[in-house]
Amino acid sequence: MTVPFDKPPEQTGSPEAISAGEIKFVEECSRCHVLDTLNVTPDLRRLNPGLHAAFKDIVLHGALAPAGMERFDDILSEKDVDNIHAYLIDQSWMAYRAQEASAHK
Amino acid sequence: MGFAWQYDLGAPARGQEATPLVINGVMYTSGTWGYVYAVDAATGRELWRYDPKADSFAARNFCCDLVNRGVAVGNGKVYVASGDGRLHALDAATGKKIWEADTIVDHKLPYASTGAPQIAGDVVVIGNAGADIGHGGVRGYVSAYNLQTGKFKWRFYTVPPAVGQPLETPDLAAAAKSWPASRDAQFKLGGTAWDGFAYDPALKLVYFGTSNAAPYDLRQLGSAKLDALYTASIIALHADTGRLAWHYQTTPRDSWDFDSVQKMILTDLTIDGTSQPVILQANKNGFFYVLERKTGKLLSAKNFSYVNWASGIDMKTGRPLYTKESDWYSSPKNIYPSWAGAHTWNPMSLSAQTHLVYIPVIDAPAVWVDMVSNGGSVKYLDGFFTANGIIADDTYNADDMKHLFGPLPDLKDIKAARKVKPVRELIRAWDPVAQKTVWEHETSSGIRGYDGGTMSTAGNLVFQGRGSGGLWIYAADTGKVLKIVQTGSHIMAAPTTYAINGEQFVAVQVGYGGTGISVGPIPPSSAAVNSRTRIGSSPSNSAAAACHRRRPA
Repeated sequence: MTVPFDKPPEQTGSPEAISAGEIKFVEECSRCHVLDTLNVTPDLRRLNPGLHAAFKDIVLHGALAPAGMERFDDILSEKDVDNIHAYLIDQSWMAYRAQEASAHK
Repeated sequence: MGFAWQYDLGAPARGQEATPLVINGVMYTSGTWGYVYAVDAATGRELWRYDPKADSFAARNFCCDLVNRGVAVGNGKVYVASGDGRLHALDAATGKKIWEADTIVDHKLPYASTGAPQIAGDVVVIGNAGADIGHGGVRGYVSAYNLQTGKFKWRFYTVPPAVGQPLETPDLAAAAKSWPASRDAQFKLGGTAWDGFAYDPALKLVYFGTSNAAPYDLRQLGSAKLDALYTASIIALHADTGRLAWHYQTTPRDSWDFDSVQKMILTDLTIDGTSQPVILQANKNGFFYVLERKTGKLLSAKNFSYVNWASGIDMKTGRPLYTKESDWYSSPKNIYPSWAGAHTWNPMSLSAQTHLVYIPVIDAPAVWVDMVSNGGSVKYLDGFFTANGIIADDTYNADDMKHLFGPLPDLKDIKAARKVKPVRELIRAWDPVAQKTVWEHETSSGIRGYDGGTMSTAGNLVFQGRGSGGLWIYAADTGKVLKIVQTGSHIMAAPTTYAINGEQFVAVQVGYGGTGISVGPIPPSSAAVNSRTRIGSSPSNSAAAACHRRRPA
């Protein structure tokens, strides 16, 4: 099963932010979220523009709580969430570039 | 034998781990969050469905998906524990709530409830989960409520309170001595009873196992090497008082997440010419325990799966003989079995015909690493505290993980240590008296979600579902494969069987999830994640399916 990756949004985070985001993601998110194409939880490399726009509201304030994604504002700061977001965008670009490269083979 | 009916368990489509109960032609079971379903067991027609309206914030507290492992039914009532820790008693005829009790003593801690309640005399008993979550876990306990009214009757704490706090029961005095005398109050010590209750009505004893200690790295509690009671133990309580009858600690000083919560079988076994009432448990730590169930006396303990953390169990003391390989405090070690076990919650079964126990075995190791001292950038991982237990399957790559967790054993060396592949699942027919395997099959669909619990019947059959969605049927005596029924989605739960008007049915809940959701130890940046294969045909399919056959005249 291969669902193509859409083009991710522009990366605005620094390499330091991406790196800090990776650590925070492993610490606090990876218990339920892995970056994969098929899982119970969604593949976070495939967020659509609406989800990217709402990212902070989802992670900090529980905008998707009914779907099982509760708020984490007691554990994560706004900066943590920005860093995690930068890391996910970086991972999205890695997957997208790999897909484009193999398409041009 | 073929497909009879299916019933859609509805949203949210998460892992299904319960085994249905069938009473007077009605099938009762639970699903995600503790939803309860009553359906006509012959047709799958819904009679009622109960929404426990669980507090969604508890979703953060489940280690391994929004699962529920079943209902208890008695006296015209259905009992279920919703994920947020409330116990519900429903009218079995209508699904209307009769009473409800909040079983959680401190909602600020990450408690969740996933186990099936147990009826024991005039009470219903339930525990909870959370001993792996956050920085300090939770404090384990078991509560009992009056069956008719829901009135609270007793509570048994499995571990002592914070230093200086009064002990709630006299049973905690012995436990308190088995922990370092001064310790950080943020650690709640764990020992949760998250599933696997049993009851002996003749002895009036409630049996259950307890989870790992919190945290995994016991050095954080103090330097004394003590046993950490009553974690990783099998416990018997007097049902009328909640007082301790006996305990047997399967893994003293547990640092490997060796919960002792696996469902037990109560039976009588003839050992050395004498018939004895026993408990059988295939423990997460890889050993198959036979205990006399009046006294808790250890009768036998033998590994049913490959282990390297202990060389055996000393039958005089009942204690494991730890190996050097078990010590991950000093350096990362590849330890068998993994935190997923050699066997976990998925029920095993005993055949009264063959006298064999059919165990869904997880033959897998975890590379345990102390993240604080190993030089990586990650020092804490929710679900593992300051340790990590990385399953060394084919996607494991020490180089990819080095920046996060420091240097780890190489997969090449891990593979070289065994003749078989490092991670696999099996169904094993185990003789609990002779303590040996009689037959086995490799069932591996992948460690990401376990293969299912087993059921054995009086017709010399054994049933087990797989991650691939196939329901496999074996001859119980020889292990010969007789038939495979494809259900269309991942099976983790154990089947049940029942007859209605001369027709024999087998029912099993299907749906992907459970521990498959929580593969945190694989770092998301690693190639491991991207190349990993998935099992189960569709994660959105969660249902109870039944097959049937005409009974021979």
